[in-house]
Amino acid sequence: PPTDSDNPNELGGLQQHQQQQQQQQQANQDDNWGETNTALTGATSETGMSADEMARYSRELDAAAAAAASADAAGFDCGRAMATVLSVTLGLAAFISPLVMLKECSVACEGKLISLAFRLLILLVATWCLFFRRGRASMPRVYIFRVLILFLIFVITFAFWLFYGVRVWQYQESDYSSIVEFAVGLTDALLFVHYLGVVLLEIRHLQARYAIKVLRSPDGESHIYPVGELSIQRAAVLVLQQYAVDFNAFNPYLEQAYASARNRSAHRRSYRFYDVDQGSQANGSAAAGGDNGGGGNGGGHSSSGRHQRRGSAAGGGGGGGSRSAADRFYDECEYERRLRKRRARLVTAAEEAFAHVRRATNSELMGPQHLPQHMSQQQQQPIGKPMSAYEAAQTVFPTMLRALQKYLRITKQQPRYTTDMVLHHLTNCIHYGLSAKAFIERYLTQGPVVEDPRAPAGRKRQTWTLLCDCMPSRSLDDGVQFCLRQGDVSLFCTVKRIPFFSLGEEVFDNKRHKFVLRLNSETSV
Amino acid sequence: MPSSPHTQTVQLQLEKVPERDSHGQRVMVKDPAGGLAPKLLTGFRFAGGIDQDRQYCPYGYPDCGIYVTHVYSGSPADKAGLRVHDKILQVNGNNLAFLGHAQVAALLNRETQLSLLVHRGFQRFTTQLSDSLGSEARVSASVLL
Repeated sequence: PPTDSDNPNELGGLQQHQQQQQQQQQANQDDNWGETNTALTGATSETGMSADEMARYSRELDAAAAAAASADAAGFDCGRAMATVLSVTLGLAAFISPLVMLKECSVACEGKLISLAFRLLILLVATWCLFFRRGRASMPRVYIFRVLILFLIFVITFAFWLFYGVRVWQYQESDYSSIVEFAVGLTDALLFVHYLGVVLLEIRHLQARYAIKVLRSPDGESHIYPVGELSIQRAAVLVLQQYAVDFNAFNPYLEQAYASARNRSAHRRSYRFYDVDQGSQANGSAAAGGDNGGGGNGGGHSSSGRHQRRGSAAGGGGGGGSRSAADRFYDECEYERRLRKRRARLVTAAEEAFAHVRRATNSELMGPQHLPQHMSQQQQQPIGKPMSAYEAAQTVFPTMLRALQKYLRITKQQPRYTTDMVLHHLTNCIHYGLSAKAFIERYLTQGPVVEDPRAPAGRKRQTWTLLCDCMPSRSLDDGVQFCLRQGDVSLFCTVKRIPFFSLGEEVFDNKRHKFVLRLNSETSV
Repeated sequence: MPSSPHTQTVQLQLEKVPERDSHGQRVMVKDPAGGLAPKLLTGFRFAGGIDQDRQYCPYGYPDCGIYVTHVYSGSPADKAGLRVHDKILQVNGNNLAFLGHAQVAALLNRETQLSLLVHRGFQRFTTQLSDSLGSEARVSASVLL
């Protein structure tokens, strides 16, 4: 990463910041220091230049000052800010150059001046529309196409200023219309560079060429996305955007949910017990065996005469694979049954709760409650006076509280939702007149990642690490693999090329396109 | 068999005709005696037989009897009055009830003059899909009246 070759003035502050980040990241990481090394230089060099992040950067500073966030979220990325400043300066300089080159106007060149003004206006609007957006991501390596565009702008501006300086200042070119044409030429060149930017940055990756299969590591969920011609880092950004929407939120407690009560009461982890002599048994309880297992393992391996037996425990969900296949199968069946039972209870409870609440009619809103004229009206009398959605939610919530709690407990979602959040959701549903099934939809499944209320720190900004064998600014190709990592979650991506389809044509000839019935036996006599 | 206005049992007489190829010459085939004999045509197609699976027949015949599935126009079968979906009960006095498909074909090919006892009355009628929910949709019901 070409951090050191850039502005030497900023180098001191940048290096200091890098060291700070390094220390903090190393404190956070466990012992995969090798991976930290390679990923660290990629993640903190931050030479990816996004076109304009000034606004976002200042907003981030305010947010960081207010909240106690981790070092990543509050990070002041020197490199990125500098790159942004550079690109904005360059763009502004290129934009103002045609204006500066002009002097007072004469009547003959007014037409050209008007066209120049309009071209500048179009260039301004197009640049604002295309480049002045919030960047989606910052990438480890240089974003080649953006650098190319900026380089072209720089070259054009420089060339024009060079010619201007030589011709107009030095040789005192007096023909004003030719100067105006010169400025118009510069504007045209800038417009064409903008067109090139649109094609390279926006259009080229729209046509699907490759399919990326994304596989999430701890639980094995996978999806496939079609992408176009992109570099690996841009494809990684795309994958992360799709991941936020398509994948279910990762719940690390879900693995333990499968352990049934029967197995949980038994020994927790696998224990090993050794036969010191061939005849006698070494009796160890589970705890003692487990403790000795760690220490005795080394001894068991070193001496040859020991007979080591591994006792597989009857269960232990978090153990590490000592459950037999029959246990696992039985546990999963039991879990499915219990889940469906509780789900049925939850749906019933929610529908009963929602049946109690209905929208107040006009007559109930306006007049005070009067005694019913007929007996038939008594069933439709509302209980109490009309109340707000929040009060209605509070009133009906206890009827389904228990069912909801049990369901959340079995799907291991209970750390996610507090009573306030559920009440708020219920209020919304009542307020908008939604049904009971719409209300509980949120709790039935794990939900997409983007809606996970317990997202890692820095909801608006996440740090992922890209692991790749080759350089991330290379373009995608068939068979490229890369991995994105954040904490426990790893996304392993494989790229496959979508084949070239050669379509043929087959025409229906109505005279020959006939059908006969097929009998299993038919003989002509 | 019950006879209603739609069913009848008829006796048909058929004279087979020698087959002619595109030039008008008689087509000759080897006969079991060793010589050549002209190939004779009756002019219909049949399906069925006790060894056949009834489900593979698209017409939905109610039993495994021999049914005529196609009659070539201008053929002796057509002139004799044989019609599609006729059930052939006897051929020259031989009962076809327990014969397999190949055996019936051999029998029909062997005889030169055919005297067929034919039962006519198979009707295929289709009912519309029911409008009301809950009742089954009957697309095609083939009933032998």
